[in-house]
Amino acid sequence: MSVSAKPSLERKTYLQKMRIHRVVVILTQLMILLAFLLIWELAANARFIDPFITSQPSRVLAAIMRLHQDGSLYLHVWVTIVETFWGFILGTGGGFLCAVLLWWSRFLHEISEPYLVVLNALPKVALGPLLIVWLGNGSAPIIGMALLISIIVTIISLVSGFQDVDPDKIKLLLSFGATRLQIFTKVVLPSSLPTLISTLKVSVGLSLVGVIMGEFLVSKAGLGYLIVYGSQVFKLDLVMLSIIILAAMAAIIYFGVSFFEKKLLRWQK
Amino acid sequence: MTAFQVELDHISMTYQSPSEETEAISDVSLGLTQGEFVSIVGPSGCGKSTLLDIICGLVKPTRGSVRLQRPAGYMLQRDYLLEWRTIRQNCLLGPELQNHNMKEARTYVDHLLETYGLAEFADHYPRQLSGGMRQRAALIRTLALKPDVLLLDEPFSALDYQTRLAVVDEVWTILRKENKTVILVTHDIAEAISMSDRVVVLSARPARVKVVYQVRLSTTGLPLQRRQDENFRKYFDAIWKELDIYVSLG
Repeated sequence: MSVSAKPSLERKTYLQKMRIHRVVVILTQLMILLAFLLIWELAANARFIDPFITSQPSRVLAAIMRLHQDGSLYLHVWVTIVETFWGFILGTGGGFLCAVLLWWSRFLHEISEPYLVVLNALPKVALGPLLIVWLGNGSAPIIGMALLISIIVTIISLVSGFQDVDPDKIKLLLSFGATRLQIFTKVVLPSSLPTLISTLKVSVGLSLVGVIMGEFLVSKAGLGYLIVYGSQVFKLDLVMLSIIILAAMAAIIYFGVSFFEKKLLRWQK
Repeated sequence: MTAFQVELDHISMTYQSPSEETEAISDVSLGLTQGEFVSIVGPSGCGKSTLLDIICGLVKPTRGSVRLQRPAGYMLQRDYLLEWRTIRQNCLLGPELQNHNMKEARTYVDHLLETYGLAEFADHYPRQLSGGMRQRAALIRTLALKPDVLLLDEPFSALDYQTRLAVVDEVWTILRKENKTVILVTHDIAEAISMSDRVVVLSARPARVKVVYQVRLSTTGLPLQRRQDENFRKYFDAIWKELDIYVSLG
């Protein structure tokens, strides 16, 4: 919605300034990363730091090439992605269903409250050994860990999001004779979309945390396995490599969710 | 015997809470004929809105009964347009919830939007509209179900004064044109007199009908013009006295 069809000189200068600012910010961000890698590399070469325990970018790169050639890089990344995906889907899907149920029934919500509070505070990693005993040593306990770590937070924040909806909006729908299901689908769910998305952002991150934790405890493959293995045999290149790939994965997930958010919340802007 | 379109028969309402029992409404009876515009004024917190909730059927009274053709259209203090729906989609909310024929409903809503000057905003989102336009859209949303009776709960209180005067005229004109039976709850005495055929004054909690004024103004026309009537002041002073507002200052 521009004021006039033809932008004024002031407007052009303003837009120009904004563009320059944006470019400067991105360039600076990149420079910091490059400087960090460069200093790391040079410091290791000059033996200011010991590359045996800190590794160095060139070694990490070499390790990546090595794993790329024997194909195991993709195996580990793939295993972690699949486990995170299932942990996330089950944790978020299950959490969503529970949240709907608790919104639907005030009685159920009242009853479950103390349990949720305690389960939320409980460090889920403590349940790891139990999961291994119960679910075996395949992917199941790892997915279980990711699920446990994300589901409680999802339930708690979704329920409070659902209950935050303006009661007068619900009153409006009731005056139109709406059913409880209609109230949920027409008002509660769309109003809680921002909450839903911020919950997704948190739970996808938590699923990744759960998967890595699970892989630390029991695994034959995955980035978490690679980190533990690398540290045990003092191949710090492997550890650093896994961390860098994890960082990249986290970034991709974050931008993915942000993209999704923009699509869904078009009406906000 | 007059055929009332809305009839409140000895309505009483008592609220229960762990600490006490509150009597909100005590024995209120009222009848409205087709096309009548009645305002309900009363001291704040006297249970006016509760009464409207009871009439609408959202709250069950402790005693007494309400008779009217449902669903009645309900307009709240704020427009509560859903931000993620366009104006047209908002106006179609009622028919959608009632599973009406959407094609017919859409034709009717488009007709209303056209008649009341919102046609070009039909595909806009609520945030793109001014306060007055939003309230008009909320009214069209209420009218979309073609209710015989409209219940207005201080629908102008969220607007600034200038907009408010203009929107009162607009809404009044629309309601007269559609020949609706209207119950307006307000704390604004001038608004009540300028819009209504009758003004019902409620007492402080528990609400009883204290007095009913038949408003007879010689000026015909919009509410804003009716405010200029020579008898307007007379009604205003009388209702003001009935409300006992000065007592709370002393």
